[in-house]
Amino acid sequence: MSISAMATPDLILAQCIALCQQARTQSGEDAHRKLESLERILGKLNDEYCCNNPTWKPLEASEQPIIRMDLTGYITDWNNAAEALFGYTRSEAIGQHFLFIYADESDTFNDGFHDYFLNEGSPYIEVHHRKKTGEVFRANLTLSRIFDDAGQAIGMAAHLTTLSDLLSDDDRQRLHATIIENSDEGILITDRNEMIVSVNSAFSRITGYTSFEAIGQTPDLLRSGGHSADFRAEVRAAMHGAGAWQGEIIGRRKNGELFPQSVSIGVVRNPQGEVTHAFSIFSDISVLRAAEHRMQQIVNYDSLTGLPNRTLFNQLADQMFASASRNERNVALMVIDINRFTSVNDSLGLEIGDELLRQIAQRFRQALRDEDIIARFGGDEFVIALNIQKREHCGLVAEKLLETLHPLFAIGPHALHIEACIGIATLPEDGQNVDELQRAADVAMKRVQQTSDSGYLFFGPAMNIRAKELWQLEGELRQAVNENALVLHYQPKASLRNGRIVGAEALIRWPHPVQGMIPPSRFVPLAEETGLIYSLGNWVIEAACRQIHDWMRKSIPLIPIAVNLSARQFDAQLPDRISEIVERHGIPPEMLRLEITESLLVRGAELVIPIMNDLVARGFSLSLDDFGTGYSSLAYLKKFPISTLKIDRSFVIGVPQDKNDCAIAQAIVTMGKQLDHEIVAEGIENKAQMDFLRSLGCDQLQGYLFSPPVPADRLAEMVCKDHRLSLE
Amino acid sequence: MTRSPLLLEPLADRSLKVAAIALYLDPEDDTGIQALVGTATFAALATALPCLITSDRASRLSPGTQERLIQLGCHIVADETIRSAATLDQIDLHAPCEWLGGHWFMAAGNNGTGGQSSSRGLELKLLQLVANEADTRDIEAVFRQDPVLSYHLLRLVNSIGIGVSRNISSFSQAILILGRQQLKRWLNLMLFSANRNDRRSALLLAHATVRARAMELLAKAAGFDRQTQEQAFMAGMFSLLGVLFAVPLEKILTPLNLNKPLMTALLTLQGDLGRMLKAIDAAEKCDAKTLTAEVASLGISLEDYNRLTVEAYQWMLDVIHEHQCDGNA
Repeated sequence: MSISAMATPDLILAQCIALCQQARTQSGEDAHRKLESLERILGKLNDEYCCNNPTWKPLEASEQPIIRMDLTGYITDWNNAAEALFGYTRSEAIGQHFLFIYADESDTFNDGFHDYFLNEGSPYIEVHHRKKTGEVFRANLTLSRIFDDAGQAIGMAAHLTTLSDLLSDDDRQRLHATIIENSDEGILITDRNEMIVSVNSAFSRITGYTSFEAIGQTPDLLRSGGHSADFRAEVRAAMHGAGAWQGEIIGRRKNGELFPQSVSIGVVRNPQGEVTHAFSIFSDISVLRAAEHRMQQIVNYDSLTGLPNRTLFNQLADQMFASASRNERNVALMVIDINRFTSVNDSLGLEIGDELLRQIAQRFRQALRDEDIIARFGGDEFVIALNIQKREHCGLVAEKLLETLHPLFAIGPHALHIEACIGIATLPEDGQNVDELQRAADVAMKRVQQTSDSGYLFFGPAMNIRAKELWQLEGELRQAVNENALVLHYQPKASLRNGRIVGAEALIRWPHPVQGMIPPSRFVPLAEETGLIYSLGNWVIEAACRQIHDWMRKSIPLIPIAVNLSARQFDAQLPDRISEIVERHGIPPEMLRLEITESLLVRGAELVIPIMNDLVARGFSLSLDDFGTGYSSLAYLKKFPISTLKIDRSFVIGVPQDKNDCAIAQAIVTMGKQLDHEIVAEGIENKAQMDFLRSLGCDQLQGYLFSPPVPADRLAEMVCKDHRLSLE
Repeated sequence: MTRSPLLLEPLADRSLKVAAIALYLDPEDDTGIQALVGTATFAALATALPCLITSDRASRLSPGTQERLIQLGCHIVADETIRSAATLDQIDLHAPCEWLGGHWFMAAGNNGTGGQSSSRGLELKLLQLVANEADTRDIEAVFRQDPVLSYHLLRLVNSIGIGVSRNISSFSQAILILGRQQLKRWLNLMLFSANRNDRRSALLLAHATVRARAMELLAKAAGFDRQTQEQAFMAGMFSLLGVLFAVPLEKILTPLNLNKPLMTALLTLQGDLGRMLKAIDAAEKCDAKTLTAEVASLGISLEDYNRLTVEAYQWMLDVIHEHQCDGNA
């Protein structure tokens, strides 16, 4: 590194210190070279000092990117070289916080790179950055502090640490080509159409295909057929840039032999950031006999429970079906789903969850006859195929299976109570092949889930009849949503400290032209089932925002309005959808409260928590509705970014007479207070209930004691007149 | 029935650290302290730090009240042991007083650049929480302890926060917008830049802490919801930033893009939050009349006010205690 590139004393000193640190960890030739560099820099420094000419190049003129900032990290100076490197002009950069250079990073972009940023007090920062032009580069920055004459730190400076390049471009290309060709690992490169464009000699040695045979084909050439569609989709996503992927894939050699390979997949992007090529680097791991055996297991058996997996199940069930139709016998197929298995996994950990599945598999297996086929299809889903005399017989089998779950599962220190839902479909009534039967059994299983906690159901025409009725109502509801024929009523919430109105919950009403006012309890579950909840939910948010906007326009004092969100609505696009509506109506996000229910958790905490966080980051606050009724676990509760807990009306009804309800209410309030949540009791109908809950320390009340849900105008009137709940 | 508000003041010792709390009781009316002496929070406060009552005020209390206060750990001290100073110059560290009150730490020129520094101990603690993937609420709890650290957080989020400009209405919102990766980088940067000890005035920080918590509790007692309570906390915490940074408050607050009610409250003492700030300010100045009026206009009884004041002081002591533990570690 030439000294002329250096600009200021602090940078030179930082450079010297860095060289010393590097030299300390090295020996021999390397250390010697570092010391030479150090000597050169110090010599030059000495020369300049002796000539009594300590003028340093101004920052702008330095060839090296230099960024200066104040002690809190806001950029105070940014030279031309920094401008060239990062693509932001001086005026864009000055005044920004240093971390703004990371601001446009996306998770996938930096995936797989260790973020090295001043870790453990080191002065080094590794920046992996995409320029304004889209070009990606990596740079190493060294940070140093700037001191004034009195030795007080007055700022910081970051400057680029370049590694000297000892290779010419030609040499580099030649070297890289040779290394690829001679690698022990097979390498396969595809273009963006998934066409193989290059392979190395190890590829040919492992697969048996020459480069001539492979080039122009797709990687399906090596496809074994042993992987699920999901798995293949994951691999293909990696080839299209979804992020680096590593794993084991079963391949097929030219001679038909299956072999397990350990594969890493990555992509190459052009300066615009688009994927141009994908590469797979793989090694054959079939040399070990154990690996071969395991391959059989992977292909046919579920490694966790030892039960057949989907692949083997399909083969075996096909055989069973074929022989049944030859002999005119009945076959039944059952789909079993373990209730709330994800909540066990999330709250107690994967190990407990795995052990639970193993034990469940064991109990099921023991309850069945040897000739019955039971398989695990991943997750907590089990599928059983069995020969039966009569359709009704499977009901007995299902009952027997549910009974095996009754004794508690003892796993480590936990005793778990487990229930399941079973759907049954039979050949030939409900379908002709494994696929059709499985789909029908699935429908029946889902119906059990919707109607009760556990049990079993046959797929049948009854379901279809109900479906038709619902279908009609669904059509009318769809129309009502589109024609804006629904209305919102608002139930006010009052403070339990001074009785003032502090908010209201928006509740949907459907005035049906023929059936009159249809209660939400009849059409909301229907909307949930049919997916109509999506547009219904949007309608509610839209209508509530329109109402808030209307109140703003009329200068009516605003109170936050809560809307209910269904689990179905809770997808990754939800925050954008709500933001769009709120911004379109020009209302502050804090005027809209979002009420969620515990049933959200069936979607998996790891999915819903980031969405909740996103909503809170946008200024919405969340409250957890009907707390205590379902999946409550303190482990979840602590992770949710919610600010309010609502005690469900079902616990309110019994207080203060029912000792049990009182204890539950007390426990919820204590837990909520511990987590510093606001606590709202809903469904309060009389003073005794209010007094009790108020004495527990509930913050707010909602219920008929104060007010039923009322039309918007009435609510506005109550707010304007400062209508208060009487606490006396 | 409580008829007068409880007036408290943190007192410094000669090292200018918080070392005692003065209890300014209305000698004509001991209903306030009567209602408090039985509470656990008051007992905890009196145990945590010496609570001092000057003898001239104490002498006019009923003997029973005096006795109970002493039982709880309060001290009755001679009037001259508490000295009040308006500026640092007025402090004579060699004078024979033991405790120092007054608003000397608010005077200009007393904080210098030290105001901008934040606690290294808290930064290290945050880094540890981030490394352990702690819950947002645990991280938020640390930010609530330091006005400068939370100020910098809000400024940073407004500076590099992505997308549309948003008003930040809570610390947890700010933490979520920033993201853990950036938070980690930022803490590393702050730690790197720090060659400093915490040179800020302990008394000023103590006041900011009491203000924040008292504001939050006032909002709660006045029946406002959680979101307003958080806003009130922020208002109290940021109300002394101007003094802390020795810069006009408005200039300091502008980059934070706070929402309108909060800004109005901080700059003009208007609105619900503004009225609460007025009350807190009156309490600091021992202006019982204004305080009583403002508290009444918020619909809060004096008994509730007194209780929440004690709670706010208790919280301040907890924060100080935690800092000292971190500092020693």
